[in-house]
Amino acid sequence: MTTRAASRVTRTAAAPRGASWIEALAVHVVFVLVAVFFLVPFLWLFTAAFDANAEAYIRFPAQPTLNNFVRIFTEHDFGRALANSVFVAGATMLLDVVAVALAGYSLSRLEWRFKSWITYAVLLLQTMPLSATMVPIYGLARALGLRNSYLGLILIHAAIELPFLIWLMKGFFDNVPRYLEEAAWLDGRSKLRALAEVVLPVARNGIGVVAGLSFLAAWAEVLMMIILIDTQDLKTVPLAFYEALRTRGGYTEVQYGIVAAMGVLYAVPVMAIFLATRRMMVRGLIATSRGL
Amino acid sequence: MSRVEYADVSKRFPTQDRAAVDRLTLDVADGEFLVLLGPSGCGKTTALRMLAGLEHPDRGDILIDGASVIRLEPKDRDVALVFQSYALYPHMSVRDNIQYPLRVRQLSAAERGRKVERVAELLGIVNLLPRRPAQLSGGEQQRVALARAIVREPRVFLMDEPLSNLDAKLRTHTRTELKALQQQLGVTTIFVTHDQAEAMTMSDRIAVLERASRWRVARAHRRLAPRRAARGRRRRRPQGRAAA
Repeated sequence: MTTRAASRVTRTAAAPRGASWIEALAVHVVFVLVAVFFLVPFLWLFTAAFDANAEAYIRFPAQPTLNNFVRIFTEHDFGRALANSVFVAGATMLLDVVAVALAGYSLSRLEWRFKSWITYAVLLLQTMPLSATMVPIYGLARALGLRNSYLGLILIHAAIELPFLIWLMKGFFDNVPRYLEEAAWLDGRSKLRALAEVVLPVARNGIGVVAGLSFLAAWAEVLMMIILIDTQDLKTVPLAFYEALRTRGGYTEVQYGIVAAMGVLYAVPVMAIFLATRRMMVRGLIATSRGL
Repeated sequence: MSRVEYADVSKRFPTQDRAAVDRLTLDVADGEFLVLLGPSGCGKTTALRMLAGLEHPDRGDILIDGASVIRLEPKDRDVALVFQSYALYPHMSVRDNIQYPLRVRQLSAAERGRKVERVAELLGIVNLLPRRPAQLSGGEQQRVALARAIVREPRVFLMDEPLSNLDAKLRTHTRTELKALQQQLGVTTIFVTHDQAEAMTMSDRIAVLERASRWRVARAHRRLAPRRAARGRRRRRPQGRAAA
């Protein structure tokens, strides 16, 4: 190749590279702006939690202290709230995973009358705003003696998320090839054992996503906690927050350091779980749109 | 070894206008290698799946060793099916895949290990035992699927186009191996394919399914009669059991 030809090739190659450089810069600027927007609340949370005189705006503590964390455990009984939240969210997650695996498999694989009607009815339930069902749920919980009980909280939290999670899991099961379970049947397994030993392990990313979303939803849910719980023993983290915001003469004298310390302990376990299972969660969420 | 009989079996899927299999009557003798040959959509896979218990016939009966199996669950029929896509369990190693049917039958770990080693040696896949299916080539996956079918010593082998995903050279080689293996084990085998050369080289007999209701059976070493002549013979002969 002559020198002139070589330089021509270099120029043609350089032109799109220039354009892509501008594109990359624009994309990165947008990414940084979005990241800043979402990270600012966390910055406030982590600065205020270690500040003895925290305010409603970001300021770096002059003398970082753990006093706020000590106070939430000694004065606000946050340990019990944290344990209650872990228990309720964990039990909700287990119940949801079992129910969703069976219901999703049924809708994906089994043939029965009115299946398509019920499939869409499940989706219709998801469109119902939670606040619209608040009064009947309260009445039902009171009639069944499920107010101020762990069982009530777990059942209702599991039920709230079920329609969406069933549809999600149905999608995962739809992507598991049928011949895998057929092979397990021919190898001598019943349908239920084939589901447990072959289909569920293959759809484990889906189970991971369902478990993660279910735990997060129950962990963060506030409305049902407020209407179903009014004893200190069953108080969960969202209720502890709510009470911390109301201390000393309503919202005018909020102890921001206390609220921020609770916020840190509220957010960190969830972030830790997500980081530990991030590969499974990301693979699962990608699989929902692309197939397994 | 077992004798298989299809007795006037029909199957129509709700979403289809015409029957997938229409009044199929067929005898497969003990230890025979029968090939079901026909174009796509002629019903040969459906016929195989009905014998496996994965589809239920609308009418007729299917018998193994003289006993009807149509009311039995797939797990109770004691037939092994090698799928076109091999159906290896992706989350298990090759060793676990092969010993899965033995685990189901609650064999001891020592006996499972012995059987797996023996069948792996027979198929030359001992070095593959610790691997996962995703780490195997098409030919290796096909051998593992065969090993899983062989290890449980079923009454009948069913094979649904198991060579179709292999390249031409490997396919030719595997045909010979598969036929030799079947003769060695002496298990009744029904093999589905749309490849005439495959059918001619491997089978004892060939059942040709042109479409759901039109089928002929012949010995593999004979040339199948031209279509028109065969039609004439069928018209003269009342509907009934066909055998070469």
